[in-house]
Amino acid sequence: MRDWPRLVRSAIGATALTAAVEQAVVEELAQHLEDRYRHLRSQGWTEDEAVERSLGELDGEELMRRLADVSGAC
Amino acid sequence: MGENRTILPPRAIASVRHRKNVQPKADFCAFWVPEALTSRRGKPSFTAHMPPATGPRELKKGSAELLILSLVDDQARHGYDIARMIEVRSRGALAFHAASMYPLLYRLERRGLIKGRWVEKTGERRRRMYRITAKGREVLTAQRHGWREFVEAVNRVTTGHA
Repeated sequence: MRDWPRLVRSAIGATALTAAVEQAVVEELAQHLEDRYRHLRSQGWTEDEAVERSLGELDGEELMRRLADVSGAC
Repeated sequence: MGENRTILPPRAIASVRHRKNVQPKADFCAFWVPEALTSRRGKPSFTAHMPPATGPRELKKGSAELLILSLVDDQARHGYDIARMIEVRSRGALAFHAASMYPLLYRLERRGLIKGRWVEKTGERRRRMYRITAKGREVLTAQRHGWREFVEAVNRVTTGHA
């Protein structure tokens, strides 16, 4: 089973979020990407393609920019 | 437009599209603001006739909020479910990627319009489920009304029917 939380952490890099908030965000994003991956696989995408497209939903820099003003919300 | 961008490396996208004949999907955050809504100075050219959310940027943001609030109005949903519902109900015309959606969910929660809570089911990872609040429902009602007025106004102009 793929380690989606690790992949998410790798994608977003270092953050300015508190540890608790970062943990929650990573967990939620990992779940999202895993759902996306499973859906793509069910649609006939290869494993590599499904991973590539799922991770493509994450732009770490963009995500961090958008999260900057909502940290502490979750 | 600043947010009208791809998030996969161009080479990867070209490769995937070639193999799967995938048509580029409208990035949701770039979808709602036609250039025609912006004057040469970059300000809304018909503010007085637009919904409560005024300028193009506000309209875009308000439209994203409207979609999410609508989807968590009848039942609690997790983020991926919301994204899929937007994709399915729009018949693939709208896509809401994780990098855009979750910050918006957190912002809506911080404003008290939705409430998220972690839900655990046996044998599954816990999920954060979002449900609309009473305050969120009030905002949703206003946004639906504003959006309907806006669409009807555009229709009157484009079809010539009063």
